[in-house]
Order: sequence, then structure tokens, then C-alpha cells
Amino acid sequence: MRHAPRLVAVAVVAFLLSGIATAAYAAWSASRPVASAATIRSGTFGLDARWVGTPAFTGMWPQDPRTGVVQLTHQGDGRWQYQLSVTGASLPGLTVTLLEATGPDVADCGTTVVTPGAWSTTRATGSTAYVCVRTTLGAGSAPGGSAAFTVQATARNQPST
Amino acid sequence: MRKTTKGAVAVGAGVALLLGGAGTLAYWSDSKPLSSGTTISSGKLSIATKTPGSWAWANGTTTPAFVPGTSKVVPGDAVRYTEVFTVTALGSRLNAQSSFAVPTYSGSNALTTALGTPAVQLTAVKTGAGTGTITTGTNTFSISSPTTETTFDVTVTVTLTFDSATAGLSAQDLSAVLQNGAVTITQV
Repeated sequence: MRHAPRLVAVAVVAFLLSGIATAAYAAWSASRPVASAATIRSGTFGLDARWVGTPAFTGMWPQDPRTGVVQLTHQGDGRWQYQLSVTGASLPGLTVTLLEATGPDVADCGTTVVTPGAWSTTRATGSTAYVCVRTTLGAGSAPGGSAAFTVQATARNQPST
Repeated sequence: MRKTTKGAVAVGAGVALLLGGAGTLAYWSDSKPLSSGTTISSGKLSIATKTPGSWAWANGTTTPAFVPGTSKVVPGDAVRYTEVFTVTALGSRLNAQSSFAVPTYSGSNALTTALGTPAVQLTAVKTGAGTGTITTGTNTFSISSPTTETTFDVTVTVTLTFDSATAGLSAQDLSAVLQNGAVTITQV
């Protein structure tokens, strides 16, 4: 009990100090909400790739080009780009050339070469692109050969605007 | 007279003498009002919306307009929320510091991951008269010595960028629900 007064004194001092410390943190403060609450929705993306009609790459002979037209249609949101690649065209003398086209007819094929593996220019949402696939046998090609080649179309999105 | 009566008279006389004696303690005294009234005026620290916020595309062309909840974002897109506040400060020795609560998403999915943490930017510019000065830091600002009322325009932007490296077909057809943030100015 001899120490009781000291304990009381310590308690009082501690209380006063705590009160001072509390007061030191008091300060004006003003706040406003930043009304950024919003729902952000993502779009979708898809590519429809198909031949226009049925290409006829059979019964070819040297210097007799055959042409098929590929139709690429973007589905979903945002803008897009495409690229084409050709694999399996392993027949000696066979060349496969990709050409830009303005429409679905063979007559719409232009002369601008589409470089395999190169991305096209950015195209509008939902637009359709046409690419001509032209096969040619060289002058020295042996008769009776065949090859199964694949045209692979790949698309990627680009920002909406 | 009865003894009790005599006693009462004696006590009354004594009290009267004491009261008379008290009167002898009076001495000169004078009083004046203070020469001037003293008014203590408090300062001011406030923040209010100056221009209501709005969303817009943050890259590429701005049309068609971005409409939250309706427009569809794709990888590579960036959208931005912009709101302008007015901060008013007055105080002979007032110093204040800003802070910002970054908006968060309600829930998480592949889209919130692709959008990432909102990028926040605060810019503050003094407008009109006023002696206060403003120091801008990285998305913060501080005010000092606005001995006369000083106002500042504080522009807050919150930008969301859809990661262009989002692979395959992930994060499609989802919603990210962003909540409010908060800008605070606190005396220091």
C-alpha cells in the first residue's frame, strides 16, 4: 500500500499524456467521394473463315493458275487484324500466292500480295475481308502429283477506337 | 426587560457594529472595458465537386462515346474517369495534405485482372487570388499558408487499361464493377 500514491500519480500522468496525444492528432479534414463507380463490360471476339464456294485446285497443269477466295469475317467487338499462312504446299513446282481482293468473286482479286504471317491493316468492327489463294504449277512440274495444303487464318483484336 | 431580550439587543448591536466595521474596508476602485473587442476567426478547409465526373475513352478516337455498362472494351482499350474538385483553404498557419483512396473492384474475375489496379492521377492548380501556395507531388498535393482564402482546382483521373497482352479469348463478355474512390484533404 506504500506505493499506492505513486501508482495513482503515474496513472494520472499517463492519462494526461494520452489526452495530449489524442489532441495532437485532431485536425481538419475534408473528403469527397470520387464518383467513379461504374460497370466496365468486356466485349467478345471471333473470326469466321470460309471459302467462297468450293475452290477447284484439281486437274491443274503448268501455267494454269487456279484461284479460290477466302472470306474472313470479324465477329464481336473492337477492331481487328488478320494474317494468313500456308502449310503443306510441298509439291515440286507448286506455288501458292495470296492476293488482296475487294470482293467475293475471283474477278475481285487484285495484284497486291498478302505476305504470309504478316498482320493486315486494322479493320473495322464486324467487317469482312477477302483474300484470293492462287495456285500455280511451274513449267517443269511433273504430272500426276498431289499435295494437300492448308490455309490458316488467324485474327487478333485491336483497340476499339 | 427580560434577560433574553437584553441578550438579543446586545447581539443585534454587535452585528450592527460589525457591519459598520465592514464598511470601513471599502477602498478606491475603477473599471474600464477593454479598449477593443477581440474576435477570433476560424479558417476554412473544404472540398467540393466543381465539375461532375464523366467517363470517356482514353486512347484512340473518342467516338462513339464510351458509356459505362453499355460500351464493350477489348484488349488495348483504355477508359478514363475525370472529375474536378474545388479545394478552399484559409488559415494563417494552415498546412494541408491530400490523400486519395483508389477505387477498387467489387469482386474479381478475368476482366478485373486484365484491367488491373486503376491508375489514378491528381493535378492541382491554384485558381484566382489567395496567398496559399500549392506543391504537387506524385498524385498528391499540399497547401501551405493560405492566409487569405485560396482556392484550387483539383482534377482527378482514374484510368483503366485493358491489358493488350490478354491472350487467347480470355476475359471476354465479363463485367468489372468499379467502386467509388475518395479524395481527402487533411490539415497537417
